[in-house]
Amino acid sequence: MPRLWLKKIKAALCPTANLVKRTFSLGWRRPFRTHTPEGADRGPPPTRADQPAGPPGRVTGEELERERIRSRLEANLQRFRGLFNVPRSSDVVVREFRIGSSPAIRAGIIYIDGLVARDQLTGTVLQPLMLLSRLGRSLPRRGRLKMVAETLLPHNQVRQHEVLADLVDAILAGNTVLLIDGAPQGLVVEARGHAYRAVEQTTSETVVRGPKHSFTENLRVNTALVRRLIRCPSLVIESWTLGRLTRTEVVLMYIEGLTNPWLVEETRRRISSVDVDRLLDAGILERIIESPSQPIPFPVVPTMLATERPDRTAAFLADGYLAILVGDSPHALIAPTTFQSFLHNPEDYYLNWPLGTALRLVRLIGTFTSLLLPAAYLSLVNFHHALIPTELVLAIAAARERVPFPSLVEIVGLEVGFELIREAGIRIPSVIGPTIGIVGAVILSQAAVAANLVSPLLVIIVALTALGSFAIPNYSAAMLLRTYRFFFIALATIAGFFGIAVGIYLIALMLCATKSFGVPLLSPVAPFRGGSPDVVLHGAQFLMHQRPRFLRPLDLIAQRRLIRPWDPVTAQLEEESGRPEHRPPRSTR
Amino acid sequence: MRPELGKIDGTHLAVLLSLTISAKVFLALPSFLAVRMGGAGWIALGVGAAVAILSLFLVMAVLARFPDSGLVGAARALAGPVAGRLLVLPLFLLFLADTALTARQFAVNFQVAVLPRTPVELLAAVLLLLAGLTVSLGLETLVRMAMLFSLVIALFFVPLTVAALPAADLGHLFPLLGPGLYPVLAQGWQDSALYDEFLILGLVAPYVRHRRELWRAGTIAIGIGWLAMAAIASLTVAVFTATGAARLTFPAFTLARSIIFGEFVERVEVIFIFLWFLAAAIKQSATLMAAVLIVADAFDIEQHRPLVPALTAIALSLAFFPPSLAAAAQLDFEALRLEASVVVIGLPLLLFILTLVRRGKRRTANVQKAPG
Repeated sequence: MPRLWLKKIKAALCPTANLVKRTFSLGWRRPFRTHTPEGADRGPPPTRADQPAGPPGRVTGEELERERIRSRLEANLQRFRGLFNVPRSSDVVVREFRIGSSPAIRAGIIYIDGLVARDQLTGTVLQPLMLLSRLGRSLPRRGRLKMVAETLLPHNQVRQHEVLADLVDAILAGNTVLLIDGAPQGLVVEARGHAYRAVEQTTSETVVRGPKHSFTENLRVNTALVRRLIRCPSLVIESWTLGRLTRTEVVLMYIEGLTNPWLVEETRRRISSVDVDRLLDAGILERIIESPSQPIPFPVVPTMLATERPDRTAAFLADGYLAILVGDSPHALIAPTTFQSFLHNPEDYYLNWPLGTALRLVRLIGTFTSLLLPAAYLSLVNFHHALIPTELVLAIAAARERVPFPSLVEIVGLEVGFELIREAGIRIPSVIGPTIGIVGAVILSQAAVAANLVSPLLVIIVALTALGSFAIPNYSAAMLLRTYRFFFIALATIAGFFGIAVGIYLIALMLCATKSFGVPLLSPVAPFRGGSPDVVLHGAQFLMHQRPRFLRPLDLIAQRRLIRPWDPVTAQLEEESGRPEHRPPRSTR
Repeated sequence: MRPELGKIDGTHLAVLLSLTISAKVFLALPSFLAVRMGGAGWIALGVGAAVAILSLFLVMAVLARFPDSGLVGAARALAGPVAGRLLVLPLFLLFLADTALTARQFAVNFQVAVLPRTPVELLAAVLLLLAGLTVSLGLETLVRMAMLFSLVIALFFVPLTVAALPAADLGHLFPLLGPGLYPVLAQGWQDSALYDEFLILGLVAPYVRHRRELWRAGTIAIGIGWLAMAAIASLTVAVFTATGAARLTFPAFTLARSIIFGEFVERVEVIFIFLWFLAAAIKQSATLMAAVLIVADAFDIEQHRPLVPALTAIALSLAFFPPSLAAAAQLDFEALRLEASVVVIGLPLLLFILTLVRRGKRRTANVQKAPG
């Protein structure tokens, strides 16, 4: 009897389940309809005969991957028109013309207007085929396409494909497809030319010394920017096309023979398993492939580093890290990453080592200030007055005398107010944004103090906290610390310094338990891995012999043993620094 | 999940054990030493360290015969499944009781120092919950925590000892042998129990990358533990005299109170709360981890995580068995240490003897089997 009921329920739910499945699945893997009117009889699916294909009805990615280009031009063009919904899709251009050979041969090009460089298309495809080919020569039926590619297309990148899916992908990527009557293949001419921002100055990782340029919204420009810095044939750039709707190109960069093959394989495994409908930015890929935080099953600590600087990316690659670039995203993702990387800035390496170290110490102080200063203030005011000198206690008490709120309300109110100003400053047009931010902060805090809503000391505390958070060079890390600050405020309100100690322990526990692509996030401190000094202290360049050990690179030695042989003092230091054995430098890796 | 085999470095283990052994010095240990040994506490501690190293040698000798298992596996292989489990039972009880009593004492310490109106039960529960959370994240995480916080603890510990030096009078440490040579040696023998955490080495041996690092890690940990305990024990006597130190509940805390950094900063002992807290959390996590590993190894439990909440709850209940802090401290540094000294010396010795007996039997059997 219960079985019968179960069957009945299952039968009742089955259509609903299918409907849900159909509604929420998209893309190539699932069948999609092509504009058949609602309720109309679609009839049987089209066959694979060499005939005008017409509206294709249901087309799956698998079908496209199996389907080959036909010999007849009309059939092919009709197929493309059907696939791209021409003429309803107004940006897709299907242009028919005749190649001026003797006898003339019918041909067609398909491209998306706005994604191709029109001048290139006219000058290197249409002009040679229509005008320069009038040399009286004939194009034989066999090998016609190859001959066109070799003799009539002066464009620098031409590929031949016979699978329909490849040609569709090429068109969507901004290339032009050339089809010739009688040729069961198509030619892909790389005449991409969509508009993108030029290479400009970096906005979030600015430096005084060092290169100023940053990545832009063009993948090939971005890979070229890195290639210009690492002129080594071992730099591998593997690519994937991800996102069933967006068809975003994703590239993985690493140096063959240097980067740990396990890391490469692991990253490859994670990228290739991505199956989403859209991949609009590197941030989305980062969210998908990042390692989980422990003990929370969700990733709450960034385990990949996003940078917009090609020089920083190149430096990471040279150390044995991997870099991932995503479509039109102006950020490179670095994997694996360690916590100290969030506090480093490329400028540290371009300055003399004491200055670089001093800058890092300032940032470290900024980090602790941003995280703990409000909580420490609350602890001192509410729990540990004895720690403060009597005069200062009296001054604080006098300042807070007229404030009607407890210090927790004061500090949370001011912190939230500051966060509002910061968030609003991002949205306000850039010309007046900073001014509004400063004016807002100054006027609001002055008014709040004058109205006895907050004490003046608290304004100083919150301002210092804000400065500390802006000293952190990485945006994700700064945001994370800003969020944790409220956690510490809560703990300090409950238990003073004891609460802060509990919070520090919990955060440290999470950082210690978390790994980024198999590498502990707190390497090389915990676990201690030694190597060249590059955590808080930045060693002198002539002592930075090793790449990070925790990455287990195939070649640990970054530079030869004596890089300043002409200087007896540093040469002596290098001799005494206890480095591993010297390996002769290789011209190419 | 069990820790992965062969993932822990000997250096990291040495740091973890150093912190675990040294953490006792923030409790009532210096008072107990002052009561019994006067100014000679550091010598008794040295004798205890020497006995502990001897015992460590026996542990290493036993483990050398069992390259794939730890102390529990060795006990089961040598004494049989039932007797082997019974042999390691005192060790389990020792670590569990150690966790519980330490939690109680540190909780009272925090209550006295910074949170006078917070119930001590709550503070102990927080400490044990943190320990449980750490243990559930595994041995790797625990040693990383120890590695990370060793720098912070050293950063606090060195000023604590150095800043207290101006108030110290080294004359209080004399007569050097305190109550006499024989009592110092006898107490030293018993003080080997203060280093009982070195037995964790035997439990985590399968998870250490290179077995040869165990001996070095153990000796370093015992050495650093002795230095830290001897420094605070001697300083306490030198600053407060033996009689004065004997009256203190938490001598290290009182020592911190006596430090004057300048006129601007008053009552710096509050800052040292971070030192007590981190030391307490690491120590309890290590001893709880040891208890969990013993149960997991004794009963071949693949997943050790489900054991953690149960043992944490038992430890929390045990922590409030003694009626007062004084009773808890007395239990920890007198009754438990006496039992611990038997375990620390007795268990490795017993296992070593069993190893020799087994080896002798095997040789005899081989001789009998040999042709001719």
